[in-house]
Amino acid sequence: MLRTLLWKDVRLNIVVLRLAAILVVVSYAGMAIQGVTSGIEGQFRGGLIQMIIWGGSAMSHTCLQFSLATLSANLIASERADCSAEFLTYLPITRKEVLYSKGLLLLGTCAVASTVHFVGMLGAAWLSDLPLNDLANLAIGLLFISAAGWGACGIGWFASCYMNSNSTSLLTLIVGFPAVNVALWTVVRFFQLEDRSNAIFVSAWIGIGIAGFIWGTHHFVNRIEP
Amino acid sequence: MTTTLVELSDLSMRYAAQLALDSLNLTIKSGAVLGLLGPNGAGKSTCLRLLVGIMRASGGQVRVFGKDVIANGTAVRQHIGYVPENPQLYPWMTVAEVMRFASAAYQNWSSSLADDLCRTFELPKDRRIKQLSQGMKVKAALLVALAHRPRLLVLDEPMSGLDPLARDELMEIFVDLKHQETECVIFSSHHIDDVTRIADEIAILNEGRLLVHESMEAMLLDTKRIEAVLVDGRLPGFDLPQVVWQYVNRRQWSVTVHPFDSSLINTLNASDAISSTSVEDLSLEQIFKDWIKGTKTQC
Repeated sequence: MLRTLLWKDVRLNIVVLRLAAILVVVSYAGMAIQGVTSGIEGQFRGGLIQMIIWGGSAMSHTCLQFSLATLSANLIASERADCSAEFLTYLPITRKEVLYSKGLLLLGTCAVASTVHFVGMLGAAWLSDLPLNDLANLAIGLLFISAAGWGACGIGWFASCYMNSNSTSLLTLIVGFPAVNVALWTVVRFFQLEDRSNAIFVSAWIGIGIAGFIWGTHHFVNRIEP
Repeated sequence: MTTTLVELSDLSMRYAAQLALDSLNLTIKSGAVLGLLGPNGAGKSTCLRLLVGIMRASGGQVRVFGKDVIANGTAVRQHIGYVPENPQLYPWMTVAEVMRFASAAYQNWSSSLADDLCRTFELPKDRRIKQLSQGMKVKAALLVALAHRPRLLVLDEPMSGLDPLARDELMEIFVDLKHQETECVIFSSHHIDDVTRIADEIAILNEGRLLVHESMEAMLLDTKRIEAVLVDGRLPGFDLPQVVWQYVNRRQWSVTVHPFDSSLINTLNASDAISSTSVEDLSLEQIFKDWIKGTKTQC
């Protein structure tokens, strides 16, 4: 059953997945154009290809966070929006199976894309002439982007579990994520914690992500209506 | 041997401030074709959705095949076929994809039966659900509901929104269903004619309460309208038992009773307040209306 549900979820979210794929292509293509026109590939021992892999992967990984957050906001609410969620509930399928399928799609997309990006970026960076310090900064940058993406996914998932329309859940994500960041930044400025702002932002995003997923899932499993 | 297939005990459902079902008790045995009647907002759809386990009740319990429908939802739904009021299959799927999707969910899914039904219903397998007419969508939902040979078939206003031709066509299908292997059919409808053709048991719901549940035969046989002419426009000084609905217009007193007992006529004729009486049979539509009007009068 899980395979069939996964097939259905892929088809149901095909627009978001296609958009994610387009962003990947645009990221690498954009980096290739920049490499050719700016000539900065000279910093890389492997030349243009290495630069495309590194820069393209970093850009694509950033874009991936938007795609994953959009996917998480769309996963459950889109089925409520077209009322097909009811069809799913009167079939002999448990809500856990429904959740496994959606979770698998979200985590699977994240895992596959992230692995490609990480391997690409680290491999390209390792082979470059970049000093160790820059590699550490790169790792921190990746962690920062990933944590922000996780937080956005949590908000999207939470909204998707509560809302009856994917437009509303996407709107909640679009408004909610910047609002959380503004709130965090205000706290950092108010308490003069600028020197620890990275750690604060990362921990807050991870916390918000975990809370969003747990709270949303709990609501979905216990919701009276489909 | 008839066994209890469905048992609703003290079933209540509340949506915010509105009580959709109020302590509903209903038992349905195997072999029954139950027509669930009620005006808009009576609680029919809520009752059927709770029965299938799509929603959780605010109070009470639903047992289907002797099992709690919430605790054993997946196991119970393996043997239930359900067609909601507006079937919402995935609009982007083709009919063939819907069949493949549903076949993965049901252990008893019969591909040959599904193909047969597809032919019988003249459903184009390669057509997307969103391209089908409302009648075709109902047929597609009915195919999903039947192809796993359910023990219990639940149809929630299946004729709603259909043109007369599509209704007639579907009615023929439903009449045929009575002779198939499904142990029990429960369906709700606004159309009394449809219910009369298919059902052999009737349950009338109003404002979330079950007013009556009887066999069609007993309902038609035991519900009578007594037309009495009053001597001076005043009712007799005793209360009639089993009054469903009554209406007084000058010297004319119309009273619908259930169950009807012929001794009632003797009692009425013996009264000084009544000059004459007559007894009328009622159609199911009249009976339904009287039950609903009766509750409104009491309120």
